[in-house]
Amino acid sequence: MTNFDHDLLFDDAAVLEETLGESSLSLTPVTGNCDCSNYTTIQEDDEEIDTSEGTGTAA
Amino acid sequence: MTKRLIPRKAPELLLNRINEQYGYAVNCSYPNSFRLLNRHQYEILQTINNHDDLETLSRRFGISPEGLKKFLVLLGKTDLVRFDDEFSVPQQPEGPKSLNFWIHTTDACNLGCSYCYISTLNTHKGMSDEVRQQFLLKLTETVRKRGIKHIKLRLAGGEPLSQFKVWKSFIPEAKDSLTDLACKLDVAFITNLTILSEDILRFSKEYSIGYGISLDGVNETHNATRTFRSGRGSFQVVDANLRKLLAENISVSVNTVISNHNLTRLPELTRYLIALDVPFRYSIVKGEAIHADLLEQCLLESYAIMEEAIASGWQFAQRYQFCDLKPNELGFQTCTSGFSGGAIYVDGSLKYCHVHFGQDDHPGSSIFNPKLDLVDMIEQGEHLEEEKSEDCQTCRYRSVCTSGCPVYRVDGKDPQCSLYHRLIPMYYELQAKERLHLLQKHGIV
Repeated sequence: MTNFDHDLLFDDAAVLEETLGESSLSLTPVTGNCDCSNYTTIQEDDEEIDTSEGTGTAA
Repeated sequence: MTKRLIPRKAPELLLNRINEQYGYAVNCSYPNSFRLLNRHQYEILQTINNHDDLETLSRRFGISPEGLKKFLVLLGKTDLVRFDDEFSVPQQPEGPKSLNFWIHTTDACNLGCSYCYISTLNTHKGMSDEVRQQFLLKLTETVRKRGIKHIKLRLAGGEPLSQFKVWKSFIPEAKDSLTDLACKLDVAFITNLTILSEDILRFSKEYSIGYGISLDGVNETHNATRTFRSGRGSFQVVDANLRKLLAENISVSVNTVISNHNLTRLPELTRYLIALDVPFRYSIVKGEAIHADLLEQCLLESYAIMEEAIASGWQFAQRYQFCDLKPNELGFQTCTSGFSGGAIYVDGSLKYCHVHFGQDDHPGSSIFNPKLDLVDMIEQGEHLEEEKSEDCQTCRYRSVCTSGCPVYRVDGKDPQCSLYHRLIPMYYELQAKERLHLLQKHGIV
């Protein structure tokens, strides 16, 4: 593998999660206690957003 | 013959450099897609033009098609790039699974802030036990009928901590009733934080009560507007109580409304909040004019202070929120009003937003209506959240900004739209610098 190939697979999120723990980079609303907080997503709703879907034909 | 794979960039992709070696990419329509890129990754992503296929791009960069494909699949995990056009945007679920209510616990307040927008202030006393019990009845009815899994109550007013005694009884009772239905209850006080006893602290720890605290500035800036009725400023009391909450690891966030009165002192407040390491939100006053150039200048000065703090390990993205923007979690609407939440007045009437209390031209329901559950009431009430401008429908930041507060839009837009367009990239740049600092700190880069 060339340096370029190695560089290409740099995955900042994965290495930090490996170091700091799973979901350590997941950001929840900072001010959940503020006056205008947003809708709290419940697991079942994720199906609507389809966050687990990978890249089209490349997956 | 192998099908030609043509990588496409997300239409709402934001791609920028932060220095010679690093850049960032974020799909502003895909939750938590933010990624720090090294120079090679940045250059490749920048070169993707939605026409050239994988083979062409790999030849151009002198890399193997397999290596390039692996990289693009990595980006595809969060929809930064796809090999088709099926990019997603946050959508409203069919029905809510969580509910969020602003509860106006009382009209009484121990402060006399010059700008208070509660038109019914000091006209009624606290919410009666009859209203609280009816609310609990409606909550359990709605949870049972709709399969609601999470309820958040924001106890506000007036000053809600002046009503602590009655809510101290209600909260455990409500928590027990909802737990029996497999529904989680979270409660937060939206408070001026001038009232805090050992009993309140103990209870807050035991029941994981959160706090949203209003702060206008440091020392005399806060004291100029937030005074006790005697005229004495409240900053010293608030500062001492804030430190007590933090010492007890109670969930706290500070809300500062920026107006012409306090904007020049924003850098001072930023230093104070960073030193306390407390999450905070800066929002811009609604419904009145603000000096736009000075506002931007003071925000930029504050961002420079944040950048310095990031270099010392301050957790920018977990500590700072600007207005109602949602740069990482994204959303389909700004707040819960009209879909999964509303505001309940002391008499049990339910309005779209708490700023409508005392206004007859904003009709609401009553929680004493036996025919409707709470979601019915929200559905049949006002729906200001849908009034968005045509520009907003196609804007790159539409899932970050969601057109701002529905009550105060001008022609379907947040009045601060142009400021957001300048500051959102700056937010991501600071997030990238924070991510880079973390990688360097752990010896990863």
